[in-house]
Amino acid sequence: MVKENKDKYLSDPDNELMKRIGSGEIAAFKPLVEKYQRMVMATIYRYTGSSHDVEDLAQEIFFKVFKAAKRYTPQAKFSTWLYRIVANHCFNYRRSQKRDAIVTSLDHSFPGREDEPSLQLAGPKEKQPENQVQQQELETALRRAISELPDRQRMAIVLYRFEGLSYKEITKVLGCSLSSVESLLFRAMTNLKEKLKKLDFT
Amino acid sequence: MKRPCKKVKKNLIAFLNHQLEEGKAKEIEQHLNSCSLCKKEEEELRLTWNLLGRLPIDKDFPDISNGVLERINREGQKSPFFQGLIEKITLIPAPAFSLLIFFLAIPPGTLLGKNLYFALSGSYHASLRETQIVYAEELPLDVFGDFPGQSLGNIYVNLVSESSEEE
Ligand SMILES: [Zn+2]
Repeated sequence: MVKENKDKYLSDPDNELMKRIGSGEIAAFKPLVEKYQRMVMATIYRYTGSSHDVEDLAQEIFFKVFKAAKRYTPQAKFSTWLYRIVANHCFNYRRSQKRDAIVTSLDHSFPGREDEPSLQLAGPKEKQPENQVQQQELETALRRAISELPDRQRMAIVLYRFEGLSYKEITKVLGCSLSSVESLLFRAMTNLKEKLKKLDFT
Repeated sequence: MKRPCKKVKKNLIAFLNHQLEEGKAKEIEQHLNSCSLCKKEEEELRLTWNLLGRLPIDKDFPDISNGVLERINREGQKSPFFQGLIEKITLIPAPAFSLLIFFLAIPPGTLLGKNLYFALSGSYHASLRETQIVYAEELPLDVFGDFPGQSLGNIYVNLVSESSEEE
């Protein structure tokens, strides 16, 4: 494994922006929000499975980022640090939701976009779902299955499958070891497999 | 239920995502060809992996950058002094907090103690009177009699202000 050089993170242009924001240049924050808002909202949406509070949560996260700018010292890529904040915020949100005993409603999901080609990552052994389920139904089932995973498994699979983070980046976001990430991802996938099996999608 | 081999559990997801280094990927592939249990697991998980890929990419999130900046400006105008204070306190949490509690606790503590004392030992004014008499007798300072103060604290203040008037 390559030894990490912390100085290299200083050259990350977004870390540079954070430095300027920290020294009081509020205007420098707008491009940062513009650059990352989609990533933040997509992660929240994938994680919660509902569009309900996506905007509010994203706003809170960016507000947190702004307040942290003064004390920010880059120890990783800016995006990795941001994912960490997103993950923690999502975990807290889940906890508060459990406290309020609100069942996440999938009825508020974003409408499926049938006009858009879905992500095709077909491997050679891919089978089509036997009973040609509607894309819409499949999406709902997938979102529900994901939203039923335990918090950390769910975040790990969202980061890996949808956000394209590496194992190493996920260790930094979740603050755990490489073997924990391997295990989280494997368990997340087998859980999803079982859930989807019950629904007859596999 | 039979479980797949450890080495496969550890590497299968990265293998599905083509993120395993070449040597390891070959090793897994060879194992899958010789272990039917792991092969079955690989096929099922690959299917799940591909199903996940059919969740569309969501492109139509709203632009929240203006909202975020508005909020920052709004909160920034909300008593920056108070916010600065809170920030400072959170930087040195334990000592600052205990000091704050200590000083905040003195006035109610004093008040409570005094009132409790008088409540337990009869009426407020009678007891105060008694206390003053006892003090005046023990320390033969007749001067105390001239002060209609409510407590020893008041008497002290009166004494000090009088002595400063004399100068
Ligand atoms: Zn095996």
